[in-house]
Amino acid sequence: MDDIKKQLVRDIYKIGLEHKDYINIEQIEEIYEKKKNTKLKRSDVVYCLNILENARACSIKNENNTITTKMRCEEMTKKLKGLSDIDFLIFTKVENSQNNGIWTADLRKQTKLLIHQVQKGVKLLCEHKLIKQVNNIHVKNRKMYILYDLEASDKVIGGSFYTDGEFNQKVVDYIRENISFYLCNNNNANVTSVINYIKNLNNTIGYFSDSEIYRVIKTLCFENKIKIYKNNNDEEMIYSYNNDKKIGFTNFPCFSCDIFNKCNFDTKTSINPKTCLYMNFYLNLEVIL
Amino acid sequence: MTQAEIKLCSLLLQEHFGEIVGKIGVHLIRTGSQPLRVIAHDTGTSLDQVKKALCVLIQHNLVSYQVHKRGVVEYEAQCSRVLRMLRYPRYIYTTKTLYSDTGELIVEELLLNGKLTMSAVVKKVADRLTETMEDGKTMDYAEVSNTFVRLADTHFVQRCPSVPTTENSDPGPPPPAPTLVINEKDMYLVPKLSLIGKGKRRRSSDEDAAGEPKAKRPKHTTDNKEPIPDDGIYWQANLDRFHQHFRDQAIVSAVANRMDQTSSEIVRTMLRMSEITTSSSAPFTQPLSSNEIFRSLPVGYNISKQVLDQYLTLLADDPLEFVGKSGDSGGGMYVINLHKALASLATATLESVVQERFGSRCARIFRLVLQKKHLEQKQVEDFAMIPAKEAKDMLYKMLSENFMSLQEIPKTPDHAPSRTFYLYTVNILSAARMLLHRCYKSIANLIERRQFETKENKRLLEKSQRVEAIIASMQATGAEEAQLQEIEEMITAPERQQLETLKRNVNKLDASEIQVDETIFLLESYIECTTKRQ
Repeated sequence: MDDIKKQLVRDIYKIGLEHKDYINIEQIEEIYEKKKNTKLKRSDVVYCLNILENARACSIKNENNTITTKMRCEEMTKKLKGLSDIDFLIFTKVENSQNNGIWTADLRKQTKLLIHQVQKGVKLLCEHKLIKQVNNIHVKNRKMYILYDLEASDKVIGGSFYTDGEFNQKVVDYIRENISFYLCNNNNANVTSVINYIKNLNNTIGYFSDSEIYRVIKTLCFENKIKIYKNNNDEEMIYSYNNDKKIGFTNFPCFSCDIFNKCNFDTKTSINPKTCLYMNFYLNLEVIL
Repeated sequence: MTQAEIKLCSLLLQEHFGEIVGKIGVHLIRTGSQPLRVIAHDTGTSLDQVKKALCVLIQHNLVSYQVHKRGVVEYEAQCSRVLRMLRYPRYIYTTKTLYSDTGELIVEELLLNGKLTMSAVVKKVADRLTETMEDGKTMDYAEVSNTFVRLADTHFVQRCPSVPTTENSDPGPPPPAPTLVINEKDMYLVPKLSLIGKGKRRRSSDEDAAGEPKAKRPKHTTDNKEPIPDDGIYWQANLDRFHQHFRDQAIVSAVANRMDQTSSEIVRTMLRMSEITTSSSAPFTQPLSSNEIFRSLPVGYNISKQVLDQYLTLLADDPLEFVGKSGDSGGGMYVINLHKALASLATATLESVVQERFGSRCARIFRLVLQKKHLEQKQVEDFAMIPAKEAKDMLYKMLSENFMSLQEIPKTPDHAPSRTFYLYTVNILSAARMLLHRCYKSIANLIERRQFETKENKRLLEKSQRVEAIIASMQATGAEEAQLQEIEEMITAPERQQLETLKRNVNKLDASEIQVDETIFLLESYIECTTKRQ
């Protein structure tokens, strides 16, 4: 390869690195033209990308008939050069999964490798700090892997309400209580004011985005404690139902009885309405255990 | 018929009519329609007793009969009608609220006796009302008649089918059983009677023994040899009309809870305007214009036409869709969506049961799945914001209790679990049926318990009644206060406390029965209207 080509490869590598995310060929040509004031031939770009891919300095994919590429940093490229083809293949599959991650079974399917090859490759890549393991909140037994310097998506690790893969119920309950308290004193408030009130509590509970707080507000909707409606200005407002009217029965024991299906009218059986302890309690009679 | 329903019918029949009638009634419920001799044979009861029992059941519309091709008359129990006996207190109370004490007693007499002529009802009610009046005052038959006519006009009472009067030149052999018919136009037609008289007070005599149930009291009609002016024209309570009223009440109450009093009054006005013109099974009321509704609002409600229109728009836009807009003429045409309203009420009942049974977080998941129709387990965890383990546990609990169901959507024809979507969904109709069955069994439990409590304290109750009877007769003969107190002290303080406790418990159990019956009404109405639509 002559010096001009080498320089071209370096320039395109630099353009890709500066872009950070996936970049298509047209964008590369455009940026190069702006920088160097010369038009780049398509064949030259393709040639350079092939060189870079062979050197494991970039990844190329075809999305909706568009070729896109992403450059890898020098440090990573050095590490990748030392990998075997099998390990590199595993790495590319993990890289393609981006921040959703990929688990070993899917790796096996996609790479068509044997399980021990996948496990060995994954272990090596973890040791080289090229990939890392993350806990999936939905399936705790599943080992999922993403690139080392990437943050897993909320779908995998759960977002702000999850701590170490565990759902933090106390935080959610705390936010719900505070929303109810705010609405008690400010019924028919708009959603924005409720969200701002909760955000001001962030000092004690950590940071939550607007959409996350809105999710918590919706849970109160599902419990019929509030109603979200739009006013004349198309603003979302919250109405709190302060009356806690219950329909029909409240304390009647049969409806909340766990052994209802075993209850028999035959007095020879121990579970019958005549000697029912729950009924005794309901009638304020003596409950003998 | 489920075991729970049969058990409940058995308890009701025994409580109201005694053991023999109860035995015959339950036998018919279990076996279906049967001729007389088979009933006698299967129940081991004498023919005479079976006939008397059937008379009682037919009189109360609990059994119907049919002549078959071979000329055999078969008797069939009306199980749903037997279950209506639970609702008698509610029918009576409703009439009291609408038509005061006179109306209450009219409906009570009709329910107690099954069928009665108008003249008989008027006489009995006038006598009963006179008993409660001050000395010297009596109840006029005309006043009772007026209330009776009002009840007939508003369809709360209706004429019973009767034997058609046919002019037959060739009589021939009489049919084994008469075929009763009623012309729809005559169903609420009150015969022109001149009932003149006043109620009479009963003289205190041996005939009026305390504690004897009314059904066993000897009938006095044979004493009266005067011809009955409306003989052959029998009346009964129109239970469907009461149910329509209860349904309307439930809808108005739901609107009041959801919105405000004014909205509920508007809905009440619309329902009142549609009372007679809309059949009880119709999915919508007849369209009413905004102008008509405005003219029909109660006098006390001084809202302007503009405000009414705003309220109607608000009601029509509400997601529950109790009120719908059907046109633009006359200021806007509006209907009440009766079936949707019943569906909403049934759903609210289910939600309430889930909350009581499993807690508020389960109720959250239940409402979430109701709203979203179909959800995967992960989606439930995300939307409800409940930890995965707990959400799974709650979903499985509700699934095992049939409040929820699973819909499988396989990706491959082999239905392999790893390649199948499992979506949670709520089938309101099947959940309602399940809950209805639970309600029947619960009421049977309540009745059993009430009877048990009464039986346990039978000796004490009898003693209390004897003491009361002695005090009453001593008071009538002018006994001194000291003597009366001595008799009262025959019941000791602990016994008095026990009686108080018994009274409180029986009242509580009674109230619970009525409460559960309200739930039964909502669920039955919803199931009936949904199955009819399907």
